[in-house]
Amino acid sequence: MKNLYYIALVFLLSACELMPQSKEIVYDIREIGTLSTTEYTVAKVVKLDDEHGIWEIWEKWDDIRSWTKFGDRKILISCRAKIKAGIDLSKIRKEDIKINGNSINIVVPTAEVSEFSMEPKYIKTEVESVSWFRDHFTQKEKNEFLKQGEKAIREDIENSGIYSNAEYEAELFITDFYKRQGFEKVIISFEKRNE
Amino acid sequence: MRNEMNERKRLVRNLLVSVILIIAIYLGYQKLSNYFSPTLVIDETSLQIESIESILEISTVSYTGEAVVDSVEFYNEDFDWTNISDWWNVKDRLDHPDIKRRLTVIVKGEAKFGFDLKRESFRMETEGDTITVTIPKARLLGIESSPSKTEVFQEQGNWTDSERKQLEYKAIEKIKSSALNLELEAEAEDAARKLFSKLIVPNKKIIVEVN
Repeated sequence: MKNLYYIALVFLLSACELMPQSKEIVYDIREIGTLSTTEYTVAKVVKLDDEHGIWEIWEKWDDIRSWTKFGDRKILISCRAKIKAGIDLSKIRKEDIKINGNSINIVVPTAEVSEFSMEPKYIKTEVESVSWFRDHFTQKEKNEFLKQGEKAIREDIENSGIYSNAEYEAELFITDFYKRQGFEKVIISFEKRNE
Repeated sequence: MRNEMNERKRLVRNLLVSVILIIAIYLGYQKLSNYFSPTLVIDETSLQIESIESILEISTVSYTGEAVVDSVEFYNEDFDWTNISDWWNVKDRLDHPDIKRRLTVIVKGEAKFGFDLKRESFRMETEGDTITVTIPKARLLGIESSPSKTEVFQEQGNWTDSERKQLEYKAIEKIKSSALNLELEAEAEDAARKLFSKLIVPNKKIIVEVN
């Protein structure tokens, strides 16, 4: 009888299991028009200290979640990201281009991140320390920390000068592009950046 | 004699109850720990800029794809009631009786097709009212992937970083080969023609040639 229950349980559990197939879904194919002019390579250390000693539990005694863990876990992951920035040429409208004889005045959109890549080969766990009572960091947890690291990189890059660099390089290209068309004076102005 | 037998029975019963209680507490602790897992927040660290490079790339077609890759390892033997190490994994064996380890990763990636004008030739010649733009052949410029576009969908058992990375590489390769199979280079060249026509002043005739 007991065996029957066990078999029934096994069938029930197997029925509940999610079985994703190895497949690929085409999402989207679209026309774009991005001119990338600058590439930054940046590095960041993703650091997490998950301390749950007696003191930490005492400090957070009103938070029931802290009671279920005891012991420390620490992790250091080094990662590298490649970020390209440039301008979206497809956003330039007809009314943004004004011609006056041999002079052309063009308003172009502000620079933005055109590509952000954090390849797995540039991600490395440098230190991982887990005390006896705690579970090791799962791959799911590590990916969550990396997501937070990516968010921090995206925020920090805003103040790195990447946009001014990208705009400067884009200005050189556009000036050359219109001078080759025979214009003597090319005036480029960038749209106002949304703060 | 009878008392001694009763004592023994009581001892065995108490021992059994204790073992069941320990197992129940252990499983309860595991369930509680997972249920009440607080969101862990990483510490603030500085960003280090390693290099800045001038590039000149025009991307005209973007392909976004998603790949699911799965790795499964099955138990070679049935549950051995006399083996302590099997009892150690009893929770996993009850949840997934056949599967020893499983990792499923979903990766979303964006492939961009276009032109690298710094490395390949780009010419522009004006003759009267006609402008001839010569662009290089379109190619796959790169695949964008990052942790925010990666999801560890299912994880059972212990997995190393390199094993997870292998699955991610496999997913990226799948996206890359799907993008290449669609032969989007011609579409990228058409999109470039449209883009240049839009940028060149209206009273001129434009010819875009692919080298």
